[in-house]
Parts: sequence; C-alpha cells; structure tokens
Amino acid sequence: MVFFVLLIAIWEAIYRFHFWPGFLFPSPFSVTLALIDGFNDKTFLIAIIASLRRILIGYLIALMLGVMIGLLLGKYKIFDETIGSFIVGLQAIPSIAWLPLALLWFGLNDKAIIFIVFLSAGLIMIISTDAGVKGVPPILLRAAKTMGANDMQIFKDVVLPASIPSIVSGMRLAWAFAWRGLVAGELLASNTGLGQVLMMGRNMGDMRQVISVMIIIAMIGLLTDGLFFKKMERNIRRKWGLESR
Amino acid sequence: MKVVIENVSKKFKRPDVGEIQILDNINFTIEEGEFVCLLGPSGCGKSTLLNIIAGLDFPDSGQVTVNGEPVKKPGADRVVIFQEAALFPWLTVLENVEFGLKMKHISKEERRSRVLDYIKMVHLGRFVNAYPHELSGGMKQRASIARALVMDPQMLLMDEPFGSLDAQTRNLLEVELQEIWSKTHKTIFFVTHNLREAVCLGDKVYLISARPGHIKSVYKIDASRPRKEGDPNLIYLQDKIMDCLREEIEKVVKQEIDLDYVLSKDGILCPVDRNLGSNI
Repeated sequence: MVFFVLLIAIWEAIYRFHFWPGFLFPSPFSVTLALIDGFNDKTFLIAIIASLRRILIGYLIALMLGVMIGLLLGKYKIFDETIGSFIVGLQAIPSIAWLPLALLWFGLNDKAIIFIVFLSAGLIMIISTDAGVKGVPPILLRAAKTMGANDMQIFKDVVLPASIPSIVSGMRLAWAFAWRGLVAGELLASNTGLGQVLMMGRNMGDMRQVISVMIIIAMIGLLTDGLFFKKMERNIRRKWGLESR
Repeated sequence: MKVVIENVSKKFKRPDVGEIQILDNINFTIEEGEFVCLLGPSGCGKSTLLNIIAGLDFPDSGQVTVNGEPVKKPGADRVVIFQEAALFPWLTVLENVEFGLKMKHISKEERRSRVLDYIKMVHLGRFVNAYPHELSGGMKQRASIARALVMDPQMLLMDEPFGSLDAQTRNLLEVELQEIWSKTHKTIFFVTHNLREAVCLGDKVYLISARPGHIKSVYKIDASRPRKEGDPNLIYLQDKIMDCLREEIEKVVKQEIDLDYVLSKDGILCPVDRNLGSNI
C-alpha cells in the first residue's frame, strides 16, 4: 500500500517538473477524473465486458485443448517427437504475429481476437501440462505398478493428479499471456474492448484515457491473479506438499 | 509363495563406459513364509535383483519363477516397499493405503473397513486423514507398509525400507516388522546394506558380492524371536559375516574412491602411505 502511494507521488512529481507537456503526461488527479467519467458514461464498463467475454472464451478453449494435447504429448512419444517440436517452434512466434492471418480467416470480428487469445494461452498450457506429465516421479509409477494398476489406471490415478501442480502453474501463466494477446489484438483490430478504447484515446490525443485503460488492465490482472490464481496455486502446492505452510 | 531364482544375470548399457555386468549368475530359492535378507555393499545390484523379482526389471538371462510361473510383469501378489516411501502426495494416509484396493475395483465400503485395520496395525490411527508431507520419515514408511499389507500380498519385497530413517526409528520399525511378520506369515525379501539389520531380521542372510554381484555365502540365523539389538548370538554372527563382507566393501571402495585406499581390519578407511611407520 505504501509502495503504491509512493508510486503515485513520483508520478505527480514528474508531472510537476514538466518533462513533457501536461496533455502528454497527465497528472494522477486528471487521470482519476477521466476514470470516473469513463465509468459514468459506461464506456469502460462496456469495454471491460467485451474484453472479458473474449478472454474467457479464448482462455477456456485454450485450457481444454491445451491440457488434452499436453497429456497426449507427455504420454505418447510419437506425438512428442512430432507435434512437440512443432509446438516449441510455434511458441517462438509472438501470438500477435498471427493477427493478419486471423483477420483473413475469421474476419474483422471477435473470432479473430479469440483466436489470438487462444494461441497465447494454449501453447503455454500444452507446454506446462506436458512438463507436468514428464515430471511425475518414476518411483510413484513403479509403486502403482507393483500394486497391480494397469496403464489406464496409472494414467488416471497417478499421472494426472501428479501433474496438477504444473497444470495449475501453467493456468496462471496462460492467463497473463491471454491478457497480452487480448489487448494487443484489440489495439489493432477491434471496434470494442479495452484495447480499442485505449487506441481511441491515442487517436484523440487523450492520454488520460490511455492511462486510465492501462490502469484498468493492470487492476483486472492483479485482481484475478491475486484473488484466484495465486490462491489456487498455493493451495494445491500445499496439499501436494511442495510448499511448507 | 515360493520364489526360485535361476541363473539370473543382468548387464546395464551405459553410453560412456560400455556394458557393466550387474548380476552374475544368481541362484537361490525363497521358501514360503521365509524372511530372507539380501546383504551386500552399495551398488552391487541388490535393488536390481529385487526389481527383477518384482517384475519391474528383466534379466538378460536366467529366470525368476513365482510358484512355478515365470515373472512377466509386476503383480499385486508381490508388493514392493521402497526406500522413499513413495506415497502419493495428493492422497491422505487413508486414501494412500486403499490405493491398491481401488485398483482392484473393490467397493468403497469394503475398502474402508479393511484399510483401517492395517492402519491400526502400523499405529497410524491418529493420522488417517493426514497428508504424506505432514508425516515424519518413519510414519511415511509405516503408511507404505500398511499400503502393501492391505493388498494381502503373498510376498513383501522391501528395498532398503528403513535406509533413510534415523537409528531409533529404524530399531523400532525393525521390531514392529518382526511382529507383523509373525502375525501375517508373509514371505519377505528384504534388501539391505546394513549387516546388523540383516542379522536381526532374517531367517536367512544371503551375502552378495561387489559388482558383478553373485551370491557369495548364505547364513542361516537360528536365534529366537523377537530378536533384540545386542543379543550376543547375533553379535557373534555379525562378526563372522563382517569378515566376509569387509572384502566386498573394500572392492567397492576401490571401485568408487581410489585404488590407494585399503580397509584396515577394523573397517577404518586409511590411505596406504600414511601408516605411522608400521611397515619399517
């Protein structure tokens, strides 16, 4: 808390020194006013809802497909040697680089952005699920075998639960990457959403609006991570005995 | 359960040093209800032999038969207890112990009733709902013993199960294992590098040599049970076996550390060039 107050104080100080003219570097106070205005005329609310809808759809698809593909890669060597190396290659491409293709394939609409979100989150999910499956301690597999478990049972009752901590860490990372993909996509090709409102601020030369949107994005990111993902990850790591109380 | 080990040999291929002969023509028989200890220096292939009996590993030549049937895969009739208790960290003690029964598709009610008896047998009644990371090393090993016993296997394969425990816990568990054995009459194959432990627990102690491992000698331990530490009969036997074991330990030390080292008669490691002038 003290840290954030200090941050705002530094912001105010830079504003007072006039490194940049006021319209390029607005004061914390004017940005607060812009935030209140934006929420009052519902611009921000509509944008947040549009963005959240896209990210949730893209993220959930990424989660399901990512875990499924990750499990396949971890379990079957043949998939790992083929799709696995392909995925690593894909991972090197920033997901926003897919936008031109996405626009042509899906048109200038939600689907193109959802596709970008899906790519941003999906690859991370695949990689961390795969790592989870490969990281299962061999001794647990051997223990299950000597207790008469067959391959299917070992997969369901040992491999899957043992890779959950890694999958959950992946979910947290994937959410952060999904946000980046979303905002980048919306900046360039969208007529609603937070990214678009930010871009509109730039086009109209209203830096207060640009900064307001940046703050909203950061807040949503902080809230979802702090309230949901961080807690979930910590609970699971505790239960699995990976972290002490 | 009668286990016959016939002419078992095993090599490991390593890319850097080529082939290493681990086991060399091992032959012996474990009789029904017998408590057999396999004693040997580290790295001599004791665990490999146990894995072969368990069906987790396979010999290059020779075979292991269990009640006349050759071992093809792991089975719930021969449950392994590992040095690291190998409990599933996401399951409670209760769920861990019932894991094997769940694999056999036994109904939940029946599982619960059977599991609790065995948890009591290993004195973990108060920790039924604890997770493995909340248990001490000794408690984890108790849980893994219960997890094996609840399957009602004909044989327990124990791979240095008390190796990572402190001395006090170890003594306690050795006494309890003897009790469990006398109650349940399971056949037990117990691998250890601890001479005292082997003599204290086994009906028979097989001494396996340094790499390549072969059975060097067999000792029948006739002392009455329950055996306690410090029993003069056991100590006499320990000394006798130690003379034989020392040679093997010395081989391992030479393999692993340095050719300059020799073991003195008292088992103390000392360099040959620092002999306090005794060779003058």
